[in-house]
Amino acid sequence: MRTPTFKLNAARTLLATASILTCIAAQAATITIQSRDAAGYGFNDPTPAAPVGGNMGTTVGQQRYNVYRYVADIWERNLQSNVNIVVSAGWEALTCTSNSAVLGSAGAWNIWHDFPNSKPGTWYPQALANKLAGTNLSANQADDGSGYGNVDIKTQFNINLGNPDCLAGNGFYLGLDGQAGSQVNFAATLLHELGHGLGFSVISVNTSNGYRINAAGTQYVATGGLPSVWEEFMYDNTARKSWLNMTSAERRVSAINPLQLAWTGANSVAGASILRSQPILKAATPTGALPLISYNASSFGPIVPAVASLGALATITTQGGELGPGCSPFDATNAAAARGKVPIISRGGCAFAIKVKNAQDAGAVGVVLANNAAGDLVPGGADTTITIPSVGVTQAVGDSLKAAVAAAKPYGTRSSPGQVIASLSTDPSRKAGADSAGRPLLYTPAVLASGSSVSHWDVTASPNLLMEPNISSDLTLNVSPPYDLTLPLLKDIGW
Amino acid sequence: MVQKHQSGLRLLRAAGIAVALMGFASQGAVAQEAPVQSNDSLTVVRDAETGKLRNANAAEAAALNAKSAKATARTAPKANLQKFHSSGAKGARLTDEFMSTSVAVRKADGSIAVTHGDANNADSTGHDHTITPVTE
Repeated sequence: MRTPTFKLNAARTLLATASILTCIAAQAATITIQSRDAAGYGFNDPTPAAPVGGNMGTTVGQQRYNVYRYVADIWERNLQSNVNIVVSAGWEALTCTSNSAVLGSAGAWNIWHDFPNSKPGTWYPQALANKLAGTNLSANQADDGSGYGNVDIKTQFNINLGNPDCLAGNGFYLGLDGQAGSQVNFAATLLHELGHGLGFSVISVNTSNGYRINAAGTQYVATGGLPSVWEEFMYDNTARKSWLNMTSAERRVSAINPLQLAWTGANSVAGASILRSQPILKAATPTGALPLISYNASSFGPIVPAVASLGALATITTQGGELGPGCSPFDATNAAAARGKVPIISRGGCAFAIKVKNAQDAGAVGVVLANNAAGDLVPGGADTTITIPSVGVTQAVGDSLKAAVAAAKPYGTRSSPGQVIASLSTDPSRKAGADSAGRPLLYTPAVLASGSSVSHWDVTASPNLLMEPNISSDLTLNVSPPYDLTLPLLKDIGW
Repeated sequence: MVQKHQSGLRLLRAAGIAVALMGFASQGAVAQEAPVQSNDSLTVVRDAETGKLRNANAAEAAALNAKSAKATARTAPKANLQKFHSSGAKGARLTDEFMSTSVAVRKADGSIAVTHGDANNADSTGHDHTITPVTE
């Protein structure tokens, strides 16, 4: 009799606990925007402004604030917490040149460990820590003298953007409709940055050396530091272990292990079903001459079709005196090799667009650009006269393609040597931006991108995601499937 | 005294220094939740030619506001600050070094790429699906 009573009581306790937790978690989050701007500046800029893209503010300052409020409302609708989230916001003169600018920065301003309902010995961003603890952990803390020492998220954006010496002519677009044109979409940028502040960041690990912040919160340490709440979900497919179980040296290596660091949180893995099939290059003939090869379309030239015949692959030779492969107009030998075909051209010596244009001028119907160093490659550049498609592949793939072309020649005739006909397709068994198990990948380029590596989705994700390191023009202001994977990751860590 | 005063004025004019009398009544803005609108009529400058005070024009007001904001900006803390909670929780207030930074770069075709990193990444060329952001 005792056992059933115990079980009943335990069940009641569990139900009561679950009910309490549900009540706590069910409350929609509230976000307060706390300005640091002086009178007449930033949010208080009285310069008259015409309403734009649904932003009905009549001054520059009002419009800036309206975007902040609009974006905060998006997060409020998607998060639950019974503790108000405070965002400190300021407009400042950040680093600029006429052609580049720091747009802004943001992040969690306080972190906590070992609070009620936390995983033991684990760093959390304050907004999430407060939600889980059910109280504002900084409520009774003395301010540090800054006036914003206890806020959850600190943000700052560039007051000078668009001025002649600060990305001249390309200021923030303050509309809410995404129609930014040549301007910088402030709403999408802010939505992204607040995502970092809410917890989309392995904030307490130094990705350049793998060190963690110590329990006192005062410094990075090689050993003995506390893990970030992110780390149990970060699984390196090469090391076959999560960051939680790695040494600092192993984390440092994992942070620069391209396309191998997967996020294992259940919400994100389930959400990754929104990712499209991986685009691949393969041999149409001879069948099986090539493995299925992942590629990346160049940023210039026509859109590369998802499924199409690319053409017969060809190799070219280095011409005398040229800066690099394909950098000079093709001589007679290379022109004969490339005409009507798809030359494989190695990186180096000149811009990708020059190589492709020279191939096009020689009559090529497409180009495969091969990296000349380790790592994936997306050829960038610009030339509006380029009309043939081009794709980027790794150095190893480039070498294998050249070898396949050489191997195929003997199988033809003297007048018509054997060919490798490449085609473009998709691999339904793989998702673009996920590993072979369907787990979304984190951004880990071979060369560490300070402040960018690890704490973003990988750039191979398709469709584009809000929390990729590049803010794409086709983003919507949605944070959950079927559009995005930001909210699933935040839920994985406890939101 | 008059001569001394006028001499001072000449010095100010020679140096091209505009003296602003700013209205600071609304500058306790740190804790505000909504924008506070300032009144430009509170900003005056001493005309470099006449030596008389007049309302600032738009460019002068903007320049003065920028200087004012810079002068009154709170210095961001440089080191983490330990925190303790009655529950036993321990925390830290971080610094700007922990912030995620967004950067915009004008590409060769004139379009703008927005990417992430630090100010040193400002010469990178981001675009959709950039893995190795290179043009050559």
